[in-house]
Amino acid sequence: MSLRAVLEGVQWLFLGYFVVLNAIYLGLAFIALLGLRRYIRGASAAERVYSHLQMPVSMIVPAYNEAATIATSVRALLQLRYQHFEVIVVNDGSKDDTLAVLKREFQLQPFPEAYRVQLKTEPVRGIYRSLTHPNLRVIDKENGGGKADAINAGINSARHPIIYAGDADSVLDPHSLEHVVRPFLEDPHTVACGGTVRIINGCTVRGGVLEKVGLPRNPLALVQVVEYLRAFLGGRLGWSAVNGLLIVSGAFGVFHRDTVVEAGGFRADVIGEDMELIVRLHRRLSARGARYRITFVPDPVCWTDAPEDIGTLARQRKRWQRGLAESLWSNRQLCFARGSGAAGWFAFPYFVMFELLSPLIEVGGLIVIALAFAFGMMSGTGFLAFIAAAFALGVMLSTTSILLEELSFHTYPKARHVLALFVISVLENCGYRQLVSFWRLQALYGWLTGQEIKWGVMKRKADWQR
Amino acid sequence: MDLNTDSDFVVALAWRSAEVAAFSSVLMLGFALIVRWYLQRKERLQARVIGIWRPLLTRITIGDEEAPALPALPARHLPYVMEEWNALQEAVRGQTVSRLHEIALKLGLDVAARRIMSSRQIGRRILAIRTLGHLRDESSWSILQEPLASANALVSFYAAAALVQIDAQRAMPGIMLQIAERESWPGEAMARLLVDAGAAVAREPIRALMLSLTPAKVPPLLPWLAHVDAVLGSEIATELLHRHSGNAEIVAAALLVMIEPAVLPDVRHFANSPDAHIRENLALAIGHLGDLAETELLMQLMGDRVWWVRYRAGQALLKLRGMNGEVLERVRVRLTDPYALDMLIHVRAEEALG
Repeated sequence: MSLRAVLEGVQWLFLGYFVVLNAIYLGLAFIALLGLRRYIRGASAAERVYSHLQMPVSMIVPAYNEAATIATSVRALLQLRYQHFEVIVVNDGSKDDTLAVLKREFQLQPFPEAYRVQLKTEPVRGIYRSLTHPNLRVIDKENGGGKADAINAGINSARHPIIYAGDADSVLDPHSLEHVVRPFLEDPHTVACGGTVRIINGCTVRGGVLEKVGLPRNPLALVQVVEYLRAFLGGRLGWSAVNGLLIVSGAFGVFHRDTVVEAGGFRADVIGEDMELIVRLHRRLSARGARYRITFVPDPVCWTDAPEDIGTLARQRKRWQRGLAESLWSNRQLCFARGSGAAGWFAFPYFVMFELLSPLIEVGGLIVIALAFAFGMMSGTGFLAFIAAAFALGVMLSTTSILLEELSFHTYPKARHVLALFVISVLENCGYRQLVSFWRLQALYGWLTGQEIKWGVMKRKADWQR
Repeated sequence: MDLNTDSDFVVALAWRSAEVAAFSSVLMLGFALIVRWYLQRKERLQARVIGIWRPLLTRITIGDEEAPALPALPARHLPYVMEEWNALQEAVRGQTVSRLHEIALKLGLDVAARRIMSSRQIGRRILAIRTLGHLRDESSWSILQEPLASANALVSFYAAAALVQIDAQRAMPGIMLQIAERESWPGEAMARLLVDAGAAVAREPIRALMLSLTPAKVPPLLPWLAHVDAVLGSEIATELLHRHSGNAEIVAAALLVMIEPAVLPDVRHFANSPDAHIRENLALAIGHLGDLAETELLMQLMGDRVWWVRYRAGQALLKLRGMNGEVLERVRVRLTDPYALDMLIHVRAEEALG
């Protein structure tokens, strides 16, 4: 077979991949649009009926070396507008003064809790209860097992049927719990629910409460605003509509406690414990024919800090890619499993083909096109046509998310914010997306060859904090 | 695929895709900006309409004779005024309600609400249903039957509430049918609706419904319906316990709504039930109804293998009538099970912290 025939075959492959991927993206965006319209129109009426109905929630907040911010974060959680909730901070063997700060700020007192071990974790050193806030407890455990182990310790101590697992440094909307608990009230078969996470860089936060929404000045953080819009308003909402959601963000997830315990809790031996749990829940529940729902509310419920330097961003994206690979591989029985519905028949194969393998195809595609051009197998016009199509479709998908945002929550207050997001959705195609694909490809290679992945230091400027 | 020539179909397709995508992006951006402009305009209009109508409606409803006459109501102002009128209706009582009715009739809100009932927008339909309910107009009865049976739980629930406002007694059969057939009405909201209808009106329909339902439907409904009338709930629970003593879910639900201490001798044997939910609810029931005679049983439950049963038993122990520090100390000395002892320490510490 000649080189020309090989390259031609590869080109057809890439073209087919490209067409199917964009068709799926557009389909998901369309489903999301319909879902969003229905959600927004029914929201105010639903709020009136459900406002008095609030299932008790145990909020589990793992903390590792968070002495500088933990008091503000916990205070913000305690101010949430929700009737029945408890906050369980899990000090994951911090080496700094996290526990001392908590003891001082919330008048913690050792509490002889009859702690039950439903999920195995690293040893618990002590449990404390606040004298100033009866709904605040702190579990002090030995370090090990990462965030998953800390959340599992919190689950062991949780009293309520619904648990929230999130990050100590995320900023929650005051109504976030009302929004994410509503699916549990509307459909008793709901086992997990996520919400839209937004980028906090550029916003103003006072005392742990979001005061003013804005866009970051840092270009890396700005691109991530568009990325998050695309991921949450396009992808997740679309998958949620067909019960095919395979990920609930680790920054904000709400779960039916007993279902998580029954599934064995969060896995401490994987990188993406948040996604792994959701895929495992799909696998286990569908395998036994259980009626269940894993859903997503489009309301912006949680604001998180985006990396502003290349090193931190690269580490984050590599971790995400590794987490994706581990989650899919360890639950591969879900793929095309009988009774697994949209999760097994559509979402899982989609995640393998268009998320897990996408960096391979994207980077490979660019290389093949460049090679074909270099060896004179593609005209300059052909080369430009493919690059332009990829570029324009990328911009179109981002613009769809910006439009979805405008049709629903219009979180960003000024028209110039919308214009800035559009400009960024154009510019992100000039290097940023390719760079991210390259990092993801590196992570994929690392996973395939069994390389260990290190967390590294997450640099956070957090200059939005007042 | 000959990509080496500019006329190749695939190259042409790629160019066309790029053009269409770029054009669509610009179009969507334009649309997003128009949506923003439209919404801002709508918000300004809403603020202006509310700025005029809220003080005016308030003045008229409190009987201010110097209040200006009602201005003309353009169609595009109608939803905002209707929403304001409903909000006021839900906030006031007595004489003011009849003044609000007069205003609604003058403004033609009744006619407008009937027209909006056919809207495809759920929010607007619900607004119309609320309006018709507040107007308590018998002629709306038949119009509200269709939304009562709607697949949308919210539309159906608001229609039920409107029918209760119009004629609670007459509404009961339809509402009971919905409760029996659908699972989508939120329990607490349903209980509030029946409380609004009046315990006297709802009592017998509830009893008839609960004793005729299939066993699977009873447990989720029982606690909420008992909330409407506690005595009725307890009576129904006793009856259900006799009829379905082998159904774990019904037993567990029934134990929670008992209010008569006299039933305790008949339910103590559930402490040996293989179902942890039953044992947990038994502990709760004993905590509400029991006295020191139940101490032994609770000590047994405090050694249960399930944490929640131990916890509820510990809490119940502290709540028993006649319980005091001296008795608790005697209990502590007698407890040999380490789990039970841990739990006693836990619940006492919890009680001490308040």
